[in-house]
Order: sequence, then structure tokens, then C-alpha cells
Amino acid sequence: MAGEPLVRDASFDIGRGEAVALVPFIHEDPSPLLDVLAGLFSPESGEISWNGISSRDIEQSSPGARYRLEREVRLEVGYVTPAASLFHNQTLFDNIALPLRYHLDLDEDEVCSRVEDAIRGLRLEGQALRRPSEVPRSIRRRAELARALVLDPALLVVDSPYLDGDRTAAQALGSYLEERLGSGGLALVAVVEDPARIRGLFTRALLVDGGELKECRGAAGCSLSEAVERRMQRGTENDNAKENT
Amino acid sequence: MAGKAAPRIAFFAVRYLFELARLLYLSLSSIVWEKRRGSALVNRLMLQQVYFTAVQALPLTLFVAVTFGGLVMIQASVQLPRFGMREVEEITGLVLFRELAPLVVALIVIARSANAIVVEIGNMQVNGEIRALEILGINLERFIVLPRLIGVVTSVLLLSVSFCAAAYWGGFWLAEFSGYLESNFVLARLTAVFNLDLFRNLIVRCFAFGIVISLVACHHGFRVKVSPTEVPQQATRGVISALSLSFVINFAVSLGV
Repeated sequence: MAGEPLVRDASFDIGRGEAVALVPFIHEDPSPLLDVLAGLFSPESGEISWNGISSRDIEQSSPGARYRLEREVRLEVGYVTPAASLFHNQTLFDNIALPLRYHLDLDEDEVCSRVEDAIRGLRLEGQALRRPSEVPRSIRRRAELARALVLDPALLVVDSPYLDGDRTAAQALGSYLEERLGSGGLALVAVVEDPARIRGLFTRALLVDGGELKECRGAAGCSLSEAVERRMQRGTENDNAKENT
Repeated sequence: MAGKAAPRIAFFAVRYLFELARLLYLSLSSIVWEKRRGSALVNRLMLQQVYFTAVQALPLTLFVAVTFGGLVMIQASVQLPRFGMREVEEITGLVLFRELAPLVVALIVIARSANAIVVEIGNMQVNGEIRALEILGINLERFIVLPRLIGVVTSVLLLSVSFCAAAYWGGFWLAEFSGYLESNFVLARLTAVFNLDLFRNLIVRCFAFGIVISLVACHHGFRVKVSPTEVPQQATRGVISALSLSFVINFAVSLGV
């Protein structure tokens, strides 16, 4: 990609059951980093692995093997971003069922069962037969999350509007994700501008600041609250600098 | 000036055809790469495309076929003998069933379906639905292009056969009923035009038109990037390109087959 690198010399692991908050400072847009974590783009240098599938192996493979590996990555990683919306001519139920119907050879009863589990988990009951244009944005966002989770990915990558939304959505999502994280089947990376919203969900915070990724772990002395405070302080410094110039 | 423009035009034309050929290759090869993945969804989309393109266009096609057929038969029966032509029914059959039928059907399909496909895919791009398919690991050529390709080719074939049947029967009886059809025009002699050569020619044209129309429409739909204002622009370009290529194909097939 053109321009300054978003992050340099970053190295970190995310294990199953972990929930990592990416906390951007003001004016930082970590969306390209999410695209790399989700496997849509390769890093300019270095390597990224998802459940043993390495980006370097993908690049060096034959076209057929690369196609299969890239698809495996797509199935291992659920990615939710405002740039990828629901399908407007289908109901929320059909939207959530689409990846199941395409990738897995399941009978319709099994598809319905899995979709209904996701609907219950994200408190979408009563909305499933509506189309995206007929429901509020918070419902649409939860449906997008359900669609990303319905294939049981190993990693869920989430952009900020989904977790910085209204309180009901945040609570529904928080309890659902806690359950999935607790079972050890899922790892979560989410851009969260206000981690306090989902207090208790995240185990680590990574601050994106000026090309660096600074790790904050609860035990290492940088709590999520401190991450938010630093972010707000840095934002104030930037605003003061602009006024003085 | 024309000398400088010609190589540029030729370059863009070749690149355009290459992009269409690449889209065709990726769509057909997705059958190999994806195997049975998503086959139920793709089959349903294909049947929907046949319904929208063929079934919904059938009344218009039959109407055009009957009026065209009647008109051509009347004009042929009246005008051709003046120039000493005796094979009135044979010439009528060749013009109507070999040349006009697939081309008129292609024009109807371009006006109705090509435009709609460009708009549909263009809106999917603007709304982020294409991005969602990529993120979900769904092969775009298999899910979007292939059902439209097979659906439009099937529809053009079905509509062309219907056109020929309607022009043959309906056109003849319309012309007969109008009173303008000369007595020298014999339906039985028109039937003799239907031979293997005619069917082969018809099938080749239908396949060519169907493939070109669907690929051009999908290609222009994917060219829409971010703005809703691009959608009608690409729809217009898609229709013009499909029309132009259809006339070129018609000419080439007429010479070659």
C-alpha cells in the first residue's frame, strides 16, 4: 500500500480464548492492519500465520495450492468491517446462512439449527425474516457478526463500529463473545476506541501509535483503562499542538 | 490523426476482449476449483436468471416474432418475384430464422437483462456486498458470473427457438389474415428451410450472443468501484458494448458458418 507504514516491527501472538483490543490513537486508522490480520493483504515484510497456515507459504505455493490455502484462511478467520455489508435482497436469516450453504454440504435442518443458535446468541429473535433495510443499524451489525461467526472461525477480527455501538448491542455481543472465548474455540482481535464499553472481555490491549504497536497486558501494568487514558491524553496533546500552530 | 488513433483503439479493443476472455476462463475454471461447493446456491441463481431473462421476456419476444415474421413473409412474397426470384420461401426462411431470430432476441436480452445485470452487480459493489463475498471466501466468478453466464446462454437459446416457432406459425397466419400475403407463398416450402445446417447456425449464434452479453454485463458491473453515479455510466457502456459485439459476431458468423 502507498504511504507511511501503519505499523513497523510488530510481533505478537494471539492464542485461542484470548481477546485483544487494538486501541488506535486519535487520527490513526488501523483498518489496513485489520485487513492484513484477516488475510486479505500480505504484510509488506515479515510473515503472519493463522492456525499454522503461513502467508509466506501461500505466496510461494503453486496457483492451485495458493487458492486452497487462501480459502482455508478465509474459513479460519471471521472478519467484520463496515466495508462489507449484508445482502440487501435477502433476509437476515439467509444472510447468516449464506456461508454455511456455500462452504459446507449440510442439509437445511442443520443450517437452520446453526443459524438459530447464532440468532439467539446475538439477540436477533424476531428480526431474522426481515431484510437489512427494514432493521436498525445495530441489528444489522449484529447480523454481520453472526454471519462471521457461523462457520466457527478460529479468529474473529472486528472493526470498531461493531463494538462501539449502542449499549444493548455491546452487552449482547459481549456476553456472546465471552461464551465463545470461554469455550476456547475462538480468538478475538477488535479495534475498540473505548475499551471500557466491553470491560472484562479483553485480556490484552495493543496501542497503535505512530507506527508502533505497544502491548498492554493487565499483569504488566498497562490496563485497558490506562490505554484509554493515554489515548485521550495524546488526543488532547495533538489538539493543543494544532491550536498553537 | 486517424492514423494515431487507430493503434490506441485497437489496443483498447484487444485489452477489452482479453478481459472478457479472462472472465470467461475464471468462471468456467471455478467449476474445477470449487467442484460442488455452493452448487445448490449457484443452480438456484441460474434458474432465477433463466426466469428473469427468458420467461419474463417471452411475451415480448413472441409478439415481436409474430409481427416480424408476418412482415418479412409479406414483403418477400410481394417484392422478390418482381426481381425474378422464385425461391421466396427459402430466402425468407434464411433471413428470418438464421439471421433475424437470434439477433432480435439478442437485442431484447441486451435491453432487458444486460442492463439489469450491470445495475445489480454495480449496486452490490457500491453497497459492499462484493467485498462481503470476498471476505466470506466465496468465489465471485462462481457465485456471480457463472450462473448469469449459463442462465443468459440458456435463455437466448430458448427465446430464439420460441422466436422461430412464433414467426413460423404466427407470422404466417398474421400475414395470411392480413390479406397481403401473395398466394405464391407456400408454408410447406418454408418448412424445408429447417435443416441441420440452420439449427447448427442458430445454436452457434445463440451461444456466442449469450456468452458475450453475460460477460459484458458482468464485466461492466464489476467496473463500478465506489460511487452510485458510476452505475448508470457502466450500464450504458455495457449495453453499447454488448450491442456492438453482437453485431460483429453476427457478421463474423454469417461469413464463417
